[in-house]
Amino acid sequence: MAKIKIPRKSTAIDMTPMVDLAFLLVTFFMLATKFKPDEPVSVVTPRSTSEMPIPDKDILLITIDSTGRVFVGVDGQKDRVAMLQKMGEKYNVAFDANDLDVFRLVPLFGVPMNEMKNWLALDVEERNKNQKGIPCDSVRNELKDWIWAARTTNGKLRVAIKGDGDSYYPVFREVRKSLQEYKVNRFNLITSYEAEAKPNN
Amino acid sequence: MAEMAEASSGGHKKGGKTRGKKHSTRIDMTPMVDLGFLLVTFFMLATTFGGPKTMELLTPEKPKDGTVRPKVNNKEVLVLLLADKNRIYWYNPPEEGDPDVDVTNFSEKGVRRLLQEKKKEVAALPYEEKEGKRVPKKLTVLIKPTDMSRYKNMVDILDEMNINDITKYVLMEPDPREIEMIKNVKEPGQ
Repeated sequence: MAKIKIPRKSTAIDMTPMVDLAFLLVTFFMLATKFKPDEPVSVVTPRSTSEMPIPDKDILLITIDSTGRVFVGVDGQKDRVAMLQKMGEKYNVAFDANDLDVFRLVPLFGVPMNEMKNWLALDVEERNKNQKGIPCDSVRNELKDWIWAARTTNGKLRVAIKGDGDSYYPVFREVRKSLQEYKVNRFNLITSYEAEAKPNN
Repeated sequence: MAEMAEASSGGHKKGGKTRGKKHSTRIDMTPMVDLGFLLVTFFMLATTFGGPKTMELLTPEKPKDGTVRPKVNNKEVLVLLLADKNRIYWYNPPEEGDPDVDVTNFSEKGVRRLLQEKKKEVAALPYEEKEGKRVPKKLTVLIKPTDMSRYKNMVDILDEMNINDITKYVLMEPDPREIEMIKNVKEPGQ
């Protein structure tokens, strides 16, 4: 009986297609990733079954954190500067070019107007720490004026409210009242998506 | 690896010519693959799929002085009072006297079942004649979050409205009378 010789094959495999695939995926994820902007407050949004995505432009974002502080953010840099100038005129605070330049890059802020000038002079880390929230109660409502400034700067702005699930309702009520003053009756509540089966009835 | 096998097979000399040692053009790709997949993993984890969603809320305009609020039939109304510790107090407004207030929660067997039952009850009410057309009755839910409730509670209840296809609902402030009523309701399981 002759033994059949099995030709010895190399155990090494060609990895080129695998590398190709790996880098294709790398490229895809690199392009698809949109890094989260640095946020001074962490907010855990409640879940809902709503599937509507948020428009990514022209948003006036009102954030409520778990302790009830209110923050405002606008995405357009030009809008930010114009808003601050309007607010400065209204509250008799003079902002110089330096302040405006800093404010241009602030995505979200929660500072009362009387502290705004000093706050803008701080460095980034200090700025993120020292935020009291924008006053919006019936005694002193600066949120109302920010909404006014935003609406008059950019008429296309849509209002989105990003509230922490654990914040108490009265804060939201004040925000809603402030919005109502300027006839903003349609706004978006930002939630995270939760799949839920519709009940069959 | 691959190049080792290649080198050994092509190692024999031909025609006695001395050649420079032939190096394989192949390189070991393993580290590259490692790096590639490391990056893949990183970007996969860093990517947030299905970012935040939004829920649209339409609120009525600020009522002008002297606006008469539309009247609703008490039988079609369900009042939900959102309280602390994720509790919902609810009642159907009676024609007269104090209503019976009951308590429920945000679970599927709690408020969802309640809403579905009430919806069916109202739909079973006799039709209303309007301009010669029969208009079926629809449940109207009055949502009244108290000062002790959380923002999450309100979002949850609005979400329940969406889930149960309830189109008539209002977000309003509770009366002081209603807050008093809540206090008198027995805790479940007491």
